[in-house]
Amino acid sequence: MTLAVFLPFLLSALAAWLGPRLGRRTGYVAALAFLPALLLAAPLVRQPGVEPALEVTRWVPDLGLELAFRGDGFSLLFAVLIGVIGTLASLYSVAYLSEWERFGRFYAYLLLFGGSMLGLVLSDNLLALFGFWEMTSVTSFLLIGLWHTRSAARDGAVKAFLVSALGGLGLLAAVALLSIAGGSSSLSGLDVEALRASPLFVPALLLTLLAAFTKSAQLPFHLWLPTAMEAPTPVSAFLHSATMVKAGVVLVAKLGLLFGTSPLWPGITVPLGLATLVWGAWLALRQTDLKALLAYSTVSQLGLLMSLYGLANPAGNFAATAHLLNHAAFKAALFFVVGIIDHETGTRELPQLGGLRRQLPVTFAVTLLAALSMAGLPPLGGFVSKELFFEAMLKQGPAWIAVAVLGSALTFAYTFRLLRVFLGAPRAPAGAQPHEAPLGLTLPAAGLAATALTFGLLPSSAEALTRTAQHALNFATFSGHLRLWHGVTPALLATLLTWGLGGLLVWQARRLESWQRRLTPRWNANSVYYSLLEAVNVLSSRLIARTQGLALPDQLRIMLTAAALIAGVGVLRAPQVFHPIGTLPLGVLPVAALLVTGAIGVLLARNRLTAVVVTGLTGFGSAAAFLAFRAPDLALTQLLVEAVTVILFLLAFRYLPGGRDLPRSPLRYGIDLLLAGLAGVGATLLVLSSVRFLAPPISPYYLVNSYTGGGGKNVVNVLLVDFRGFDTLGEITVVGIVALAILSLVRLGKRGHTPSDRLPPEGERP
Amino acid sequence: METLFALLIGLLVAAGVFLLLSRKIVRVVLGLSFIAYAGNLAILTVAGLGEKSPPLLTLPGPYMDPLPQALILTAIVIGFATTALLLTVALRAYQVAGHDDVAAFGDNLAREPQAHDGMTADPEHQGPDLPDVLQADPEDTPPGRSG
Repeated sequence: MTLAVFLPFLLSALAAWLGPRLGRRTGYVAALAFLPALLLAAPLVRQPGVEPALEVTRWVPDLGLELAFRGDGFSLLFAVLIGVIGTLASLYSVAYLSEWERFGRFYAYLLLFGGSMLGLVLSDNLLALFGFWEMTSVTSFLLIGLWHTRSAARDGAVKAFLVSALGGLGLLAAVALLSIAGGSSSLSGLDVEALRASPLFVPALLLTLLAAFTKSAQLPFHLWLPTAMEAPTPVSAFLHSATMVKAGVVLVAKLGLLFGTSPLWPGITVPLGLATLVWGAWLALRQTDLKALLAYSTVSQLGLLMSLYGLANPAGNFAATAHLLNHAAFKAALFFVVGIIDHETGTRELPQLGGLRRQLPVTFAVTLLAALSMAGLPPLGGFVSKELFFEAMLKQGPAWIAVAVLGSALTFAYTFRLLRVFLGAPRAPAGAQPHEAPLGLTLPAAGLAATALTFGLLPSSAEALTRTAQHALNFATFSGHLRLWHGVTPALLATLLTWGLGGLLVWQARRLESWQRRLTPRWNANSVYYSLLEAVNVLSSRLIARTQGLALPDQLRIMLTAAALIAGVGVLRAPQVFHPIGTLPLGVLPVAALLVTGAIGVLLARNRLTAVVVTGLTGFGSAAAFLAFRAPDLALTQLLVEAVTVILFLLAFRYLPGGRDLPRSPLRYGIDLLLAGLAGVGATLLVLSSVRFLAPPISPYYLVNSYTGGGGKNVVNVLLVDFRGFDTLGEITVVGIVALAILSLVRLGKRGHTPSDRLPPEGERP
Repeated sequence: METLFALLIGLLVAAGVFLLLSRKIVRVVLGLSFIAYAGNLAILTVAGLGEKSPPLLTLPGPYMDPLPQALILTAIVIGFATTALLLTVALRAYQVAGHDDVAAFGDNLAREPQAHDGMTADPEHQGPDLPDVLQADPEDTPPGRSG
């Protein structure tokens, strides 16, 4: 499993290197990357009843961060799904991409994405899960924005990233809460009882749902998915059918075992999922771009999956897993088909296309199978899993099944809208000569469509796959089966009703279109997104204008105030230890006097020379303090540095104007006095509270080892050059860099000797 | 004794912060060196002020803690480097802006161009090569040199 996750990452680097050399054939190498993921199917065969395999690679054990991959039935099933679609997408893109594409980048991103996705579904460690989750966000950003010269692609990429990153933050918080409340950073090691009793349970639940909903494009967050179709079609197939968008569904499925006991969980996911089902289908019905239609259809189907997994009961999980498989098959096939149509006719616009069944008979057959599975018609997989969906919703009550039927009828309607491309009189844009696509494009789609048919005609094949998820998703004892014919059941009646309603919608397509145009709301998720983005832009530029336009001392005042507020809390909460001054040796008094004179003198000094001399006094005072407290090296260094500093100041004064301070306004004067006073009091309290705070010291080690280890009897020197030699090296580097900086600054000043030419000449100033 | 030093450190920090908020650029640099002194003394104080021997193994123990002393030694040198750099930056800022009023640097320069110009410099303290610098006709300056 570890190999399955990491091979795509490794081969991604290889693909980036091979891309410019091998061109489109890099796709064959890319397909290899998913081979270990496909091999994970082997343990699936004997899965039921077998303990899930766990592979742990230690990484940062102190943080509880390790690469733990857990191969339970559900994760493995999903990983294989990713592997299959990833392989097909890689092969398909070999034939699909044009000659001048940047293959290196394309395949590198694709593999990075595939690897992150595999890591996400297999990961058992919560922190690693979050890491992979964010990596899918980043890599999908790169994939969607692959054609970054197009503004739509950039916009789509940014939108997808902003929305899923918002959810990612939610997941980070949720992961933190879960590992605190559950006492473990491993998903399977969480203490479920403690977690359910914890007050952090509800916040963690809500944050998890936020993450899942943003990733899976549920209702208020569905806006990013349709614009994400700006990616090349193979990527869309990969992103929309098997992976990226289903990450949220996976999260809901896995954590449903944890959170499902709370009524809040199905209470939020099921209504929201059904609403997404209906609204996505309604929007899909309105699209004229084939890919947009499929994108909204994905939104809608994800709503369905979300509502089923949200139930968090065996029936829901069973139906959802079955539909997950079906959806991956038919949706990827349809995306591939749309790519073929785009490839052959040069357009994806519905009104420009028609009657393609004559020119593209094979494609038509493939589309028919996949589309009818999407519409839920027998004898295809979609029909079987839709029956289960209705059954699950029937148990919920009449309102739920009504919404479900409505959503499915809309699905039925937009499927036929999609099929219109092949029906009616032949129509294609001028100059296009549609003919059958090369095998490289047709085969992946055909394979997937055949799978959809197999799932329908041989429901036991899909059932066997679905059952592998049984232990992981807690439907081990669930007695349901996938069947084409159940007899006359309420679910079948609901299906018949769906067909009737869907047929009506198809029949009245024109009237429906005019309704849709009239019913389009002025405010939708997209316009809200853009106004939010605009508002943030305006706010930030105003904030910058307000704060960064301030004079430097004013900015410093703001910063100091903030620091005082933050540090103040810490200082006040720390224990204060007051040591009596009584044991004061007389020798220290002159030192104190020097320091006090320096500090007060510099404030009173009118003349800059006085100020520097008085500062020097403080410097000598601290040197004296070092001497008094048995630090001869320090005293020596301080004295040297002090002498050089005074010389430096005197040198600089040659070029600087006089020392009298410029007047401050009374308000600022007051604020400054207050800030300075607060800083002083804060520093005093801080020192008091940390006196001998850090017991036991580590210094005895140095005292003992100084001579034997470093060969010197001056412990401080040995410490600097031997024990902490790299620190000293860094210090020397800093001094060297400073010397260079000073040299360049001085030389810069020497050359021209003029005030900046940024200042306009006297007469032209406004 | 630690209490006394804590008070002294507080005083140094207060003086440093007050100087840091000055408008005169030299005072800002001085303020920073005051804060550096306070920092050094704070490290020493926190480790405990005592009457033990200096950490020289030629002397009989017990010894003072050598670790804070090593830290301070580094800090002194770095502090010196910082002061020198800031002083040069101050010098350069003065040359570029034509005045040494921190409050008028940066964007303020563009916003209130009349408020402070190079002539605010105190004439009696000006260096020998400054007056002609500041009074130089802008037309005479070589073009294309950025600040």
